[in-house]
Amino acid sequence: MTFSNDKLHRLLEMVAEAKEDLMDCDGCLEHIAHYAEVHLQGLSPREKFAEVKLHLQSCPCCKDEFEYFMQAMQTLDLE
Amino acid sequence: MVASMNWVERLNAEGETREEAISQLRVILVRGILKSFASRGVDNAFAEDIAQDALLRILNSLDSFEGRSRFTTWAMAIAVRTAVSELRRRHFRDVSLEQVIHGENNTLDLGETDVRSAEDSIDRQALYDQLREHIETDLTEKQKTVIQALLGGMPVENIADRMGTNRNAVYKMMHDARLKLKQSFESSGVSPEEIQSILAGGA
Ligand SMILES: [Zn+2]
Repeated sequence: MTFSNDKLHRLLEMVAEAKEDLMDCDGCLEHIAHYAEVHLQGLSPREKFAEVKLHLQSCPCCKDEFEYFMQAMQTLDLE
Repeated sequence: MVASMNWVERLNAEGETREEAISQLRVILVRGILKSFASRGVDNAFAEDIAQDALLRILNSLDSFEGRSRFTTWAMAIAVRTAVSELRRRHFRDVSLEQVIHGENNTLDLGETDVRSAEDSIDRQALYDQLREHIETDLTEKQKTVIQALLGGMPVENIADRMGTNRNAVYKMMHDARLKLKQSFESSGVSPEEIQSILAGGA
C-alpha cells in the first residue's frame, strides 16, 4: 500500500485532531433532530449535545448530512 | 409535545386518519428534500421517491421516537439521511474499492499530483515517513483499507457497502485508526500540536 504525500498530509491533520468519540452514526441520528432544534433556537446545549457535536466534528458523513438537514429545517414550522 | 403525540397517534391509527397523516407528512418531507438538495439539482421525482422510502423507515421506527424533538424534525432527519445515502450510492455506483485505493478513478481524482514533495520541509518529510511506518506496523489490514479508501474520496457509507459491513462499523474502524496513530506519535514523543505546527510550516 502506498500513500502519496498529499494523502499523508490529510491523514496527519485527521490524526492530530482525533478525539475519543463515544457516539456512532446511528446514535447521532437519534439525537440530531433535538440537537438541530436547540441549535436553531440558540438555547444552551446539554451534555448529550457535546457528544453529538464531537461526532459531527469526527464523522464527515454525519457532518455532510447535518448541513443538508439544516437547510431542510427552514421548511419546517417550529412554532 | 401534544402535536408530536398527535403525529404518532395518527400514524398508528387505522383507515383515513392514518392515510391523511401519511400524505401530510409526505408533503412536508418532499418540501424539505427539495429545499435542502436544490443545489444538487434534484427534481420532484427524486424528492417523492426519497419521501416514500423515508416514510417506510419512519413508520417502521415510530416506536423509537422518544419525543425529544418535534416529530416532523425527527422525520426530516431520517428523510435527509435517506436522501444523502441515495445520492452517495448513485455517485459511487460504478466505483470499486480498488479503484479509489489505487487512484484509478478519474471521477474522484481531483487531479491531485504529488506537488508537495518538492516544497516539503525536512521536518514534514520526516513526519510523512514516520506516519507511513506507523500505518504499516500499528494498523490492521482492514483499518488500512478504510483509511486508503477514505483518502481516495469514498464516504464511510460506501466503503461499508463494499466491505459488506455497516456504516457504524466502518466509522469505528476509522475512528480507532486515527486514535491509534495519534497514540503512536505520542509514544514516539510527537504531540498533536507539534504535528499541526509542522504541517502549518512552522517548527
Ligand atoms: Zn456519523
